[in-house]
Formats: sequence, C-alpha cells, structure tokens
Amino acid sequence: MARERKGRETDPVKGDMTPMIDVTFLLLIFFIVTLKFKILEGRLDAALPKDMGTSTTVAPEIEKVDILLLVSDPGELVDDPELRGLKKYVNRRVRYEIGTQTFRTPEEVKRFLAGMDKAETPITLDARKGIIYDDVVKLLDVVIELGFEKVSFAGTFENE
Amino acid sequence: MARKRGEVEVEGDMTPMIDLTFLLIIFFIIVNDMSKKELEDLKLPVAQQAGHDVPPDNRPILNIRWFPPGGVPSWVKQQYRQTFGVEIPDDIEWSDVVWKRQILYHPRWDPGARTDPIRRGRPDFYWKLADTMKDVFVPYMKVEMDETLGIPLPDDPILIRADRNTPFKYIQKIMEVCTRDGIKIWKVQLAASEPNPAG
Repeated sequence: MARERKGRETDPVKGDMTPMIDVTFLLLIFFIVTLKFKILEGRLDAALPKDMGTSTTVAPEIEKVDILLLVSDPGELVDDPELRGLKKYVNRRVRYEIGTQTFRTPEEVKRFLAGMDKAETPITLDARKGIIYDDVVKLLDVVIELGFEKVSFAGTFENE
Repeated sequence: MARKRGEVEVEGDMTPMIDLTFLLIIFFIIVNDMSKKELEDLKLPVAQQAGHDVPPDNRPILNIRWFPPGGVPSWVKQQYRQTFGVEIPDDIEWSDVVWKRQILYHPRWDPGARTDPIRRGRPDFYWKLADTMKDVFVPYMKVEMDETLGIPLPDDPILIRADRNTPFKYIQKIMEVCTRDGIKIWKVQLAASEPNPAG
C-alpha cells in the first residue's frame, strides 16, 4: 500500500506537463494574434481643398504655381531587373510646365521653385493624361523637400 | 503496477501535442491572412521625403493595384469572374481600388443609372467607392468643426497606397470622390517607400 501511494504521488507529475504546454502555446498564439503587424512604409501628407464643390466665383489674385505634368515619351514597359515579375518603365520622359516655362527633370523644377515663399505660395500639381503615380511622387518629393506647405492636386478631365 | 501505469501515461500523451501543432498551423494561416487584409502587395514609388509612418488606429487604406497588359494573375481573374462576371482583357493595363480585400472600383465598373454628383449628367463609375466612404469610413471618423467654412468635417485621414505605375487619374478620381457631399474627407496621405540605404 505504502509503495503504491508513493508511486501515485510521483508518477502523475511527469505526465501532467501537457496542460501546461497547452496553456503556454495558447497564450503564445493569443499574443501573436493581437500583435500589430507590419509597420507601414512611408507616407506623404496631402490635404484636399475644403471648398464646397466647384465654385465659379473669382478668387482673389495671389501668387500661385500650377505645375503641369505631361508625358513626353511614355517609354517602354520592361521587366524590372531588381524585382522579379514586376514591370518598370524605362526611357520614360516627363515634362513639367509652369506657366510658359518647361522643365525636363524634377531637379530643374526644384531650382526654379527654390527662391519662393514656401509657407505662402500654393502649389497645384496638375497631372495630365498618361502620368503615373511614380511621376507625381517624384515631383511631390521635391516640393516637400523644399518645404512648401500648401500643396494641392488638380482634378482630372478623364471621366472613367 | 504503479511503474507500469506511469510508463503508459507518458507514452500516450503525444496526441495533445499534435493537436496543438495543428492549432498553431491553423492560427498562423489565419493570422497571415489578416495581415494581408488591409495592405495589398504593391510596389510603391520611392520618395526621399517620405516620413516614417506610424499607423493611427482609424485610417482606412485604399490600395490601388496595377497590372501590365496580360499581367493579371489567374487568381485575380477568377475573383473578377466570380464577383463581377467580368473578363479582364489581356491587351490593356488594369487597375483597381481595393479596400480590405474588397474591390471598390475597376475600369469596367457598371455605373447603372447613377450619375456623378460633381460632373452632373455623367455616369458615376465610382458609386461603390463613394457609398463605402459615406457609410463605412466617415461615420467612424472624428468630426471637427471647420472655422472658416462653419461646417463639421471629418478629421481623420485616409491613406492611398498605389502601385508606382498606376495612372494618376485614378488617384485624382479618389480625391474627387473624397470631396463629395456627405464624405468631405480632406486629409489624404499618399504611401511611398523610404529610399533604400544601398541606393
């Protein structure tokens, strides 16, 4: 009897590890699930005009810059050498028009804008047919780098 | 007797372990799915000035996918066939707007009888996106009184994540939809990736 009792006292201890492991795994899983995943890339802030729809009233004259983005040569779509399975434009040429002046690269635009009042001058990016997101971000990057605070986007004429 | 019973218990306890392993696998599958729910797999353009992003709690994310002509994966084609009954042509590039894995706009979207409230008389191809913003995004946004306009406006941003090759007209259109009555979201963020230190 005494021996049997001794056995009962020691044996179940070895066998009873499983619930412990159960709970540990469950806890582990719970924390994994509740964890926030993937901190997002970067971002560029922009603000839309808060006007009430489209207005026909004449706005007071202020110095403002409209940058027209136009495609000179869409280039060719080829496989991206760095990223398998993804496509990329090569030999793409975009031109930027401010008033009557035409610029070929974002750097030229940067030199042109450098002397302006960054806090007050509103800048409108007017992307026309064929312009892709990448083109706009390249220019927007320059505008933000210069420190312009009032950046907006023009609408599109395309209906779809 | 006692020793024998002990041995049997130890050997028989493999099953809960296997149970748990399966549970783990299942959980990881679910979790993996969940992490992809909001962020589609896109190649973003690179911007030097892209600020490091700390995602706020309440920010809807609109993904714009882009596929080159003939480059739409078969599972996406299947998705279109099942949800919309639309065949994606192989000769044009294809873009769509995705929110939480739901397609809210694609180039063959059926406007039905709806007309665009900003461009009156024109068919409204973006009605689904507009309805989602109005019914799902805006009601959960913080509202603040705008002093100059004297009307309440939603104060939370939306994030537009577009593939680098997306035609910009789609982003312009989303912005236009944001300004519609009953939406009036004015904080828009554009996603870009931070430059690689290697170049």
